[in-house]
Order: sequence, then structure tokens, then C-alpha cells
Amino acid sequence: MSWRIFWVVSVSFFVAFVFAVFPLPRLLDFIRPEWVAMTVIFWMLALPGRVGIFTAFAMGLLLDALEGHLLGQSAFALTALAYLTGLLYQRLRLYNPLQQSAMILVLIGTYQLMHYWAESMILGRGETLLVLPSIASAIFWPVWHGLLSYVQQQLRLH
Amino acid sequence: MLLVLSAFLMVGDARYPQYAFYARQALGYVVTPVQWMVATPLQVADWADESATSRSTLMEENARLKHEQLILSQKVQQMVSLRAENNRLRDLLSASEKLDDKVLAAEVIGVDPDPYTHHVIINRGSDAGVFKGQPVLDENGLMGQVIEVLPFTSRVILIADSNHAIPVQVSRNGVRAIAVGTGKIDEIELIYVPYTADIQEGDVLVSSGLGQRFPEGYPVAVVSKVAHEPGEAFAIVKARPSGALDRSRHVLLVFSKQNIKPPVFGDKP
Repeated sequence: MSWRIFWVVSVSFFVAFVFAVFPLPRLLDFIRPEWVAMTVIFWMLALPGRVGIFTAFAMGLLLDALEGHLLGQSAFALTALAYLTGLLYQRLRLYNPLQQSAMILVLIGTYQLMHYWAESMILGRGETLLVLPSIASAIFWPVWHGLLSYVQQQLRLH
Repeated sequence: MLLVLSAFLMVGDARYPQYAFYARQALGYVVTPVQWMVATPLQVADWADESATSRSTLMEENARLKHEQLILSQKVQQMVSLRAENNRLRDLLSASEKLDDKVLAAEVIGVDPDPYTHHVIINRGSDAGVFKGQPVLDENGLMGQVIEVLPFTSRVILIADSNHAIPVQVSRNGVRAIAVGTGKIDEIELIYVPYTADIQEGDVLVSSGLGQRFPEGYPVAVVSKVAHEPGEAFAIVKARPSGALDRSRHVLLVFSKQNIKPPVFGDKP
């Protein structure tokens, strides 16, 4: 991985982390999109082979430390998400944004489910209302995808 | 393989928090800039607000603060003699002397994005001596306790969180109870209160210090509703937290001398 790619990917994840914990009114918290998961998916589609499961795992660990989850909870879910994306990425790249959004709904939904499973298995409790963040992620996907691919094209990262 | 690794990590974190503490500290160095970044807009807004305040408003505020300070210092004078008297009386009863608590001021720099919990992030961490389980106050009452310490920030669970409980007593007559969070930011609940217990609306609940975690005598909540449901085993008692849980920006971390407990990383809050 060249340094340029490393920096751009890191900065995009930094922005995603900031979005992930930015204080919002309580009601909007229920529909906060999963920015970090979306960023993982984007870079796996844009730079396959450079960003993959290991990146997802590392970002998951950081997300756990940031959000105060069990250490490894998001890492677990993001790794699973990255694995699924790895299976699907050739198809996903050919889809138009709308079709991609539909797949994002499923992928982020799975991610949320893994997150919930892990938490409820180890702590015996977990959050409900899993669907709303996945729907929000699907809605925000075209915007986030457009923004990141603009950056990618401007900087000619391949 | 990584899935297995993260599964191990999770179980490890749940079972052996003393080791996970170091991993968290290490990760904390990376995530702290994100927390600062998130807090920046608020701080910029605060700063802009302060610098744009007009001279007359400042003078008004200054006068008001001076006035308050005068009242407070008068109260402090009384307190000195009262405390001396109290300690003499405690001496007579051969009870241990009450000491002042040392406090450290901190600022809330973030709120947990998870809508199912009530956690806040404060701008002090292990470098300032913050430890897990440390009580957190604001100017009106108890807010919660520290549950996670990173190098420069820490996470505080508020008393309204549904996973939090605190031993309290009614300041009027000393009736003891346990106050648990309900998940609503402006309501906590007393559990296992017998029907006959003398608790009324408007009673002030103070921390009883019985859990060896919170220092004794800080206001926790004011009873807002007492109901007796026929068929329920216990009375239903709701209370409104005294601290401004969802509004306070400036909080105090207490280093209590009454019941000093060494930091135990493995403790569940």
C-alpha cells in the first residue's frame, strides 16, 4: 500500500469516526448511519486487495475503544461484514448506486445483527431497533459513496 | 481467523478486565484525537459566545456572581464552625472524623452516540489520576461514576442509565433504598421499597455511602412520585435526578478520603 493511499484511507476513516460519535439530538441517534461500516465497504469496492479484512478488524477495534463497547465487538462484526463484502464485491462494483443501496441495507443489517449477537451472547443484553441504522445507511450510501469516489478520482488512487 | 480472534477478545474483555484495561489504554491514544475533534465545534461555539458577549452583560454577570459569592462565603463561615462542632460531637460518639473531599474539575466533551445508554465522555483520563469507579458530581448533585479510563479522556455512566444503581437514603429520616436508572434521562426509580416506608414526594435523596463507592451525603435526586399499586409487592417511587444530567458541561471528579478504595480495574460498576 503506498503512503498516499494509506493517508487518504486513514483520513476518511477519521472522518467516519467523527461522524460516528458526533453528538446529535437523542431521536436522531436511533437512525445514525453506520459510517465506519460504510467506509469499509467503500474502500473494499474501490481498492480491492488493498483494503480488506485486516483493515476492517483494526478499525473495529478502534471503534470499540471509541464507543466503549466490549473490546472486539465491532471488530467481530466488521470482520464478518468485510468477509461478506469480499464475496460480493465483483457484483457490487457493477451495480448502480440504487442497487448498491439495496445491498448496503442487507450488509449493514447483517453487521448490526452480528453486533447485537455478540453483545447479547457475552453480556446478556443488547440494543433493539436494529433496522433503522441500516435504512439510514442505505439512504446515505449514495452521498458518502459519491464523496469518497470524488476524492479518490481527484487524487487518482488506484 | 480474525473472527475467532475478536471472539476471544470479547470474552477476554468481559472476563478479565484487568488485561483489557491496557489494550484500551493503547487504543485510547489513537481514538482520543477523534474525541477532541468532536468536541471542537462545541468549544468554538462556547468561545465565540464568550467573546461576543457585550460589556453590559458581562458586568451584569459579574455583579450576580459577586453577589452569589458573598452569600456562599457567608455560608462557608457558618460551615466552619458547624463542621468543628460536628466533629466534636462525632468525637464524643467516638465516630471517625469527616474530612473534606478532594475534587478535580473536568469538562464533558462528548455524549455516547448509543441511544440505549447514558454515557458521557469527559476530558480527564489516567494522566490526571482518574480511576474506574470514581464518583462524578456537578454543582447540583451526583451525576454518575467513571466506568472506563483512557489516557486523556474517560467515560462516565450517568445515574439515569438503566445499568446503574446507587445506594441512597432519604435525607429527612434516613430511610435507605437503592436507586436504579430507568433509561430516561430525567427519572430514576427506587426499588424494593416496602409499602410502609416513610417516603414522600419532595423528599431529597442523598447518597448513603453504603456501597463504598460513592461518598456519603451528596444529593442524588428528589422524589417526584410515590404510588401504591394494589397487587405490586413494593411501592413505586420515582425521583428526578438533582444533577443536570443532560445539560451539565462542567463536572467534578471526587477523590474521597472517607472511604478511599484503591483503583480496582476488575470491578463491575
